[in-house]
Amino acid sequence: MEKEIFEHHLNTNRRHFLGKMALGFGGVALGSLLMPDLLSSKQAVEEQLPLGLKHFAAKAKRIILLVQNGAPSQLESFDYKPKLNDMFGQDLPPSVRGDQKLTGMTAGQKTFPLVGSKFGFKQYGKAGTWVSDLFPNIAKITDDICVIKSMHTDAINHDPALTFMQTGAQVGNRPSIGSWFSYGLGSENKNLPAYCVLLSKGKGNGQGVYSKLWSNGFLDSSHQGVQLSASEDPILYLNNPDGMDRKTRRTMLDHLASMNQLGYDEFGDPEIPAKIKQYEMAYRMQTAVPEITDVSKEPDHIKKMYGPDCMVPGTYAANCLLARKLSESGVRFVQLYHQGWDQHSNLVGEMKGQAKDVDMASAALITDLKQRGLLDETLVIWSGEFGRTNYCQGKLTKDNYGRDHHPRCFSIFMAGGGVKSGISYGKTDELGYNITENPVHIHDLHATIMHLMGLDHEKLTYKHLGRRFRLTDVHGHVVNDILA
Amino acid sequence: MKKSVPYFLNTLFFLHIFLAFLVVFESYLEIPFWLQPLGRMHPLLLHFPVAFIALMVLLNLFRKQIDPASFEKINYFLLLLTSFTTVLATIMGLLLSLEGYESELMTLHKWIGIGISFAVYAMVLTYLHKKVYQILLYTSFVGVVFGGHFGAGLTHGSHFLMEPITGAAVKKIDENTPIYTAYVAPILKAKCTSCHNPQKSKGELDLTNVEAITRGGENGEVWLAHNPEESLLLQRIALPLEDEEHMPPDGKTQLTGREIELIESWIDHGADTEISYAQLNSEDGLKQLLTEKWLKGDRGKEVYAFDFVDTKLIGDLNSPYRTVVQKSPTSPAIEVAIYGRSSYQAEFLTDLAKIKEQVIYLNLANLPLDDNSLKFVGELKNLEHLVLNFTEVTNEALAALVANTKLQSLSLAGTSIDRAAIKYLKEIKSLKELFVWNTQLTDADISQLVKELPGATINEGYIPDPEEKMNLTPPTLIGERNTINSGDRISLGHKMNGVSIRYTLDETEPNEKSELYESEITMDLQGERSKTVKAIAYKDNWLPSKVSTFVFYDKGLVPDGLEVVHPGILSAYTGEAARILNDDTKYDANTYYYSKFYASFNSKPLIAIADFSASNPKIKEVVLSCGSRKGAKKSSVMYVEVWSSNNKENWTLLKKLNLTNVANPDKLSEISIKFPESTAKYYKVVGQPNTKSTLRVNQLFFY
Repeated sequence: MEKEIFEHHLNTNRRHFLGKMALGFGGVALGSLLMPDLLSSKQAVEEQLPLGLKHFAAKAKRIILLVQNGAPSQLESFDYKPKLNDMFGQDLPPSVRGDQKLTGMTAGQKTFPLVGSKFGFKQYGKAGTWVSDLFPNIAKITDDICVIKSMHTDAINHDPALTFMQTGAQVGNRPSIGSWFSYGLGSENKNLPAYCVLLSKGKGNGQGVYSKLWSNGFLDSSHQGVQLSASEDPILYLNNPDGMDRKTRRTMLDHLASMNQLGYDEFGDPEIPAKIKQYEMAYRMQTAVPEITDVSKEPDHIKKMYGPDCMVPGTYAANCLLARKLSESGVRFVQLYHQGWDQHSNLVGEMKGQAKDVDMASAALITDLKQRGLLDETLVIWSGEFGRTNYCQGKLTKDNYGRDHHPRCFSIFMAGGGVKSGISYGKTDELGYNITENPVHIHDLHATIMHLMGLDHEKLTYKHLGRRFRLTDVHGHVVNDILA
Repeated sequence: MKKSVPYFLNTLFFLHIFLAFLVVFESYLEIPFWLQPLGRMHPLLLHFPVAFIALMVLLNLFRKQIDPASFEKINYFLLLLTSFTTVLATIMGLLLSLEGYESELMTLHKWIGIGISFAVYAMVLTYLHKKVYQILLYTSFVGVVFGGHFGAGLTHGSHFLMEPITGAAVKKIDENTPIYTAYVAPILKAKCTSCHNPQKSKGELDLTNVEAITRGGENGEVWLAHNPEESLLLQRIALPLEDEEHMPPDGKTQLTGREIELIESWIDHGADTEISYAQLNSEDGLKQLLTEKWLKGDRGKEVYAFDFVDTKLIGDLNSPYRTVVQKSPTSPAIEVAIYGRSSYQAEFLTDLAKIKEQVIYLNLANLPLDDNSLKFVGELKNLEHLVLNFTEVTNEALAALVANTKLQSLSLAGTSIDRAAIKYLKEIKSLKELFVWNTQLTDADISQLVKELPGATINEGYIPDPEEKMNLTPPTLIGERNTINSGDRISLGHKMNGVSIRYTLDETEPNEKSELYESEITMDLQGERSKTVKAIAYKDNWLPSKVSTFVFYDKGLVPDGLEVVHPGILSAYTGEAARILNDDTKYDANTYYYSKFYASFNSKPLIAIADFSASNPKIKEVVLSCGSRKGAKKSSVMYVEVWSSNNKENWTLLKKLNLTNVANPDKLSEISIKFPESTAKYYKVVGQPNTKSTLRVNQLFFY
């Protein structure tokens, strides 16, 4: 026996050695089959969870996103920096600016004179939240909101920044955040779209909004945002044309559906059932929409609360009231855009007007949801796409100034839907240029919003062009500290 | 036998490389479901190596009694078998462990197993060196004893072996357990002690017991009583994740906000390791924190006694007007919302009888409910959240809700309930939130409710300040058309109910004494080209609106058809010049000059041909409404011509108006071209833009 073992050892020549190596590699190869992502650093996405259900129990059922389009200045709203007033006119130290890219508008500027808020700040509520005098009504509800002062983003210009905020990517063609919720959770009220969009315009310097911002991207088209217009017909072409009654419409739709079904049976295009579904929903919307858009039945003091402008269609106040009605009726995601926040110059004058447009109605929306017992299940978010610089763009005078785009920090607030109320989260340095504590990236905000709605941002995926896409792409951390 | 030896050796080599790979890349591995049964065979297979190793020890102890040649044969063959079964059992065990067993015991068991596997393989390789072989054999045997013990601990619990003797019961946590033992120590155990224990003690720190913690580590004390800011433990936790000094290090499980908050509050309170929940007084921040976030949280982990509902039934219950959805995939609780006031039928609610037990959330807002509906709601025993805003519920109907003993949140905003509802509401003892905004309850009623329901928050909502007055918005015009014929009627409107609109037709400012708008106003142009309506809105408790002014223009003679030869230049304007010029609506140039409502022309002129061949009226004036903007310094029009014809081929010039150097170009909004009365069938209007100018036109009138 020993001889055989000995011989075996002696016989270990190059050929044996190579043979053994091959065996060894075989063992490694077999093991590597158990590694789903051998070459990538991330774990593979787990199997798709069922759609239309929350991934875990969560309070929030609906979202109202109040987009302040153009980027309101954090320094005149929530981020109080008295140091800037002390340093009026002094140049921004290059060490603070670091390697921050500038926009084409101030890149040529020789100096960057610091300028503080022309408007006063006071502390409000139990937590002593700082709010500027421009927002007296929001100041009254600070105990119901969570101000995040440490938001930051990647983009420095409006369109990419807004697209980023809306879709989680700076380039277009990705589904908008509302579409993701429509896809992940479905519609609560099947007589209304899951995702509605309302537009309004302030008098300040404005930036355009385009329908790509509420596009369904690669998701099927039933998830795209439906824009409600300010006219007598909030949803265009919804009413039956003259000479067609509801019964005829029904018969017409039934025939159309059967023909579409034939088309689907033959080609299997998933857009066809989406289309059938949309026709059906539009039919039911014919009765559901008038019930909702009629604000005449709202009690008088509600109109006082939102401000009398809420009776003028197309204003921010009217849209806030409509947003409440839509949300109350089970629209999963209502999105408002209020244009006119791009104060490169004449900030003092324009900001006053803009704040006047939104302050009362934004606060009223939150109070109104609260008194109906709906604030717990509705998440309200007030946000621009980025912040504004702490230095003046253009000519600095004692009474007026302008501010350029600033992606490194900005302030937003959230309310309801399982968010901690009455707190301020995150801090910026004393010059309001860099974040010093608890930064929240747009991806983190998305992850947090999804978490509040009971969705795991890493698990809600859609396979397109051979890879699985998420709203947060490969990023995003839930900001646990602001969860109630 | 001889022949099979090389095969055996090769297989063993292969399996050990495989095992080594699994061990090194363990954290990257994921076990596909079809491989899991293999892992689960570990408990079956492991008995072979246990027995074989024991047998080998016996064999070696009694080798003197055995014939040496057969001993060698048996021993070597047994060794190969042992190594083979050991490595297989280890690989399977490793696969099984990846299914998610995390414990100290697991780690010990795993490494001992891996150790034995390689030790036995080393015995195979060093078989000829008897000394090494012997040492390895007895070490392996010791390993088997301990590894086996820990493995048994994993399946049966670590106290299993000695329990009958020691009888040590695990202490239950109650309000008298020290907070340190109940909450703080478990956090440290979960997040810190894997590195800071007596064996490993990184940074010379051991966090497993109070004495060791008091000793501190190489950087000093772990915490300072009453001083969370200066406490090293919290400082390290608070550092950014990227920081070298941050604890637990990046990659390890981090502490949650709730845990940090608790430790902070506990240190702030004095880091007393003996104090218990019961000993704290109710004002204390630490006690409140525990009550709010820890005790409530534990209770909030909704464990429902009822069963899951078949997903098919849930699917069937969903309809366009009713949404029925499970709270989450792991919860049997169901949330229901019913929508659509005009389509509502009582069955929408009563169909829910099939899931009576599971409904915990029900939203019936805005529905026309009768008292019977609430009787049904009363049968939903596990209902936690009910929304009845703006429904027709009556006081008496609320009696049914007393049966909902789990109801926590009730919204009654906008209902007509009053004082009489209190006697039912106060019986719903489980209530935590009650929303009674916009009901008939008075302030006194609400304070009574607050007294009757001490555990609940009563939300009475926004109460307007009666002193605060706001301006109404101005009245609006219904419909957009602002060109009329004498005798046409127009309507005014307002989104607010109960306003009175007063108006004037003589361009004076309206006031409280002006004509009250009751129904459509009949417009009499009285030979004028336009008529102005000024209106103002009034309402009690509101300040009057601003005056709104609506100007109506004489529509004149409407052509049977209108065509425009060149569409002009397109931008916001999309080229429908003929429709724009003839759409009965005159748009204000100050607002709409660059919009789709203004047709624009520059290189090619505006050429509009109006067809009056059927009506054939007398025409003596054409007005081109082109609008102009304030501050315009130069006329945008070179000339305007009007031609007539009866066959669209031979045109006669009726009039040409030269406007190149007009005196006030900023007032050039209505270009009127008068000519001797004509009854031609066709008229051609030519508007030639000025050089380098754009002519924008909105409406074309014939009088």
